[in-house]
Amino acid sequence: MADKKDVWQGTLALMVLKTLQALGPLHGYGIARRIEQTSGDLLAVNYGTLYPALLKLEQEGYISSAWGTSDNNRRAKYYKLTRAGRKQLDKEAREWEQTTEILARFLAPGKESA
Amino acid sequence: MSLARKWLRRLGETLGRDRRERELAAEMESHLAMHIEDNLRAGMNAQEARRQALIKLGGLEQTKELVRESRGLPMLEVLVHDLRYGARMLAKNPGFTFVATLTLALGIAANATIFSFVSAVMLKRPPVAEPDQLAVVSSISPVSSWSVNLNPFSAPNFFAWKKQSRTFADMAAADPYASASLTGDGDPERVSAMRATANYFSVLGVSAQLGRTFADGEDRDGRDHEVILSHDLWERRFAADSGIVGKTILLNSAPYQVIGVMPAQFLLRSFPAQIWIPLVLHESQQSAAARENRNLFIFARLGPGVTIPEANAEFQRLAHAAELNFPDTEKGWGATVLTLQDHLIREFNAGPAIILLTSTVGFVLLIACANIAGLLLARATGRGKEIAVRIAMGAGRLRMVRQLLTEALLLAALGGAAGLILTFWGTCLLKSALSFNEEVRGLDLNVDVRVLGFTAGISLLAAIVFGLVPALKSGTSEVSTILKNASAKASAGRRQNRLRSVLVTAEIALAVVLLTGTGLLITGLIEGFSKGLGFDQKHLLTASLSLSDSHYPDGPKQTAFYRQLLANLENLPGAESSAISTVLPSGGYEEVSFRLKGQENLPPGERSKARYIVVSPTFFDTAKIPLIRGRVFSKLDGPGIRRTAVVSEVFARRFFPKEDPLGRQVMIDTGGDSGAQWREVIGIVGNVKSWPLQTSDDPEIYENYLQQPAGEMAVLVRTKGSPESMAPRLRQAVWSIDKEQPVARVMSIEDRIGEQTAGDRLFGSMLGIFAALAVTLSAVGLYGLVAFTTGLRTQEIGIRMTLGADKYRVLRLVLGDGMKLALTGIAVGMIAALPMRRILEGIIPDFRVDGSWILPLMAAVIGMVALFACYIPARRATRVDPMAALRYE
Repeated sequence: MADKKDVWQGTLALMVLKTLQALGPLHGYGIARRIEQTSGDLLAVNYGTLYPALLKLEQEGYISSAWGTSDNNRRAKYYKLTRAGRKQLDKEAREWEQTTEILARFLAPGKESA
Repeated sequence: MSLARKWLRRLGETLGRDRRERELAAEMESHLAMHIEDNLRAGMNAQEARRQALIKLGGLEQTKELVRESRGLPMLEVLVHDLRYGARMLAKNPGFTFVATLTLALGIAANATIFSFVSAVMLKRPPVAEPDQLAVVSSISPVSSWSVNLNPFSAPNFFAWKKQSRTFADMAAADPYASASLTGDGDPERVSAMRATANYFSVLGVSAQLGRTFADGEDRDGRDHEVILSHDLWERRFAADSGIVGKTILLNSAPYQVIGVMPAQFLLRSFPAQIWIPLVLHESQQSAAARENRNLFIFARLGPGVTIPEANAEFQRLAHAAELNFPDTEKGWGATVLTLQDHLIREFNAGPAIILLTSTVGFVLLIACANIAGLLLARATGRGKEIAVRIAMGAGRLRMVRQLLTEALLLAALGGAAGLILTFWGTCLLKSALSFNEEVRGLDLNVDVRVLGFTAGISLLAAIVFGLVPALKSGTSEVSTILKNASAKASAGRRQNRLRSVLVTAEIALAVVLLTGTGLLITGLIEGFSKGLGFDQKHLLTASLSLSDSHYPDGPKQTAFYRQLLANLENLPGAESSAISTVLPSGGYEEVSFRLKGQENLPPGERSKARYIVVSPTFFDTAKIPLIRGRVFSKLDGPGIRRTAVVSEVFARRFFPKEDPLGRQVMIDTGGDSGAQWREVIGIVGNVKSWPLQTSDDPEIYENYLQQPAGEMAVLVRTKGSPESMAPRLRQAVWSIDKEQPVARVMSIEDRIGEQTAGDRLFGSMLGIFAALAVTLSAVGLYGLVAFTTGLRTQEIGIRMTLGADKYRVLRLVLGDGMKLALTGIAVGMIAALPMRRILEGIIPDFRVDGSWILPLMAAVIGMVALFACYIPARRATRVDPMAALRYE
């Protein structure tokens, strides 16, 4: 159980970092919506996990936060990528690509024997 | 590196908690608002937009709690939070907090105080260098009449073994039982002295505070007139004169040069000494008499790498060899090697008292813990809803268990702190009570790091004992049931109450066991105290005299002194009669072996033994010991005339079971020429107890001082008025004969007996206090439970009363419920307490109390107390107003 959650949290962190890289500073709600949209609404972001994940990333120094004003003139807390965060994103993205590549080789039917 | 930064950041987050909390709330709020706006744009109506957004967010408070837990240092923060919360809860219930703290404080203080005593006796190390390496060699007597079988050695053994031993680096001998008359400025005084070989202090590894200790060779003839003073004597007698070293003092009228003063902390409990003088031993003395003169303890320093068991094995071999070489004197005598600390602990002989006291206070603490666990369970019932709400709001169950445990710890900390204050008071009290002899005065009793650690440890242990059960219990309760059943108070309570009932039953059972045990012990003491000692204690003044060898070298000189003293005392106004004796009535057991006609050739080890007292003819009259048959000594039974002896009833019955003892002959092993003379038994007198609390009588044999002179005598004066008022005249009567003769321990015999029994009385009163505490605590526990359940049943009682139940029925109902628990507890306790007497007999060697009536009596006492504890809430229940009770929710 704990392992699954970790994997999920790990991927969530990657998604958050990637979202912030793509869109620049963004608030929690925006991050959640963007992830959901990008996944083609296949993922439902559990906010109970999102906010602790944001806090964790901030504690690790990968993102920083500041209060700002949204498009609708609403006060919101904006998160943005730090330099350490960019590095981390590159590293994690590479690792993730590797993982998926390996898994894809395993899962692709018939290729091994050929 | 990044990990450290992360933790640093989290530590920073623990500060400014409130600001962060507001920010989190604002962030959630803005999130929600944006979501609602989007939903509105998507065409939902306002209500639906809000509802959907809330569902999506998935429990606002739970999200907040999740964030809270990963923010800052959760462990630290949660702990601080729990502590704050716990403190608030305790402050909100001052009554509960007070009762629980007081209960716990009493239990902890009882344990910590007893521990301070145990620590002083067993854990404090003697004030010598490397105490683990310092051993005391003692001999083991073949006939052990005393509970501690650690005896001194003879000089020939010391010399032989010092040569043969390979396990010790160095060995010193010391005679701890010497004494000397200190004269000069002020009244002559008898001081206790230790005679020691010159290497004694270097073996111990201690040095003088002022001056020096003995130098090599100062234990030889001609160089031995040197003395070292104890700190106490130096302060008391010499006004702490810093120039004392080099001065000369008079000991037994001979000049001794002061070479040093020992530091105040140099106290070896069972080797108390006010002065140390050199011990001169002559290796050439190897006679049987020298071998029988056992007065030396061997102090030895273990060689490098040698252990105590190795040394012990070696000395057992050496003692065995001595047995073979000198069977006449050494047969049956063994040797044992103990560290100095173990030796002192054994000599202190407080093992049984320590076992009994620690188990008693342990029971008290258990009862206290059961009480508090009960109180916490009761509160948990009331707090069920609060806890259920908190769990529903996102607090983990584990978190709740932790919260409750934190509260228990907080309570334990309060109880421990209050207990510590009581412990300071308790140890002061105990220390002032422990002043009745030199040995207990030497105890270093105080609240030190060990006692502090013990108090903290036992508080923690108590918290676990009383906190864990209620905590686990609340952690498992069903949230939905509690929340749904708003009025489930009584039924939810009942489940918790089953556990409380078990606790209270156990408490009462513990109290029965404890009360039975202490009851038996105290009864034993009371029986000992109330038994007649065999003589009249009222108006009897005593003093101890020890004539020095230099002034009174032989029997005739000693006899002349005492004859003159008795004549002086006879003429004193206010004195009815006076006498002397080597041992005071109930003043101790001085043993002698003897032979009857036909037993002349029995070897010493197989001869019968009796308590031996040399007295003046007036002794039996003065002490009011009844003459049963025959006659007592006369002033005319002088030396050279047919020798006589008086025996006690027990002696007559035991050694002359079938014949008339009067006129029979006894040979008493007094040593020297007189040992081979026959004495004729001329009278039989009543038995006198050897010790004040003795349960049995020893056979006794008396001799006339005119026929068997002695230098050391106790003086007895039967006074008309208060014995103390005669004290100055008694001293004057001695000093008018010899103004340099010390008169020691001038006090009434009642005071002497009081000193001897002070330890037993202290022990008895401590047991009494703890037993009373245990009973009170379990009564409070029972009362608390009955009052609480009755409170929960107010409505039910109201209904019963409306349906026609009268007051007596209600009274019976409540009383019945409480007493069911009490009687179960008493029954369990009685079964558990059945083997108590056997257990006590196993712990205390000479414990003999019938006491079969004690168990039922104590059960009845607890039954009465329980009845009272149940009666108060039962009375209250009968006053319930049915209408008010029915409306009450």
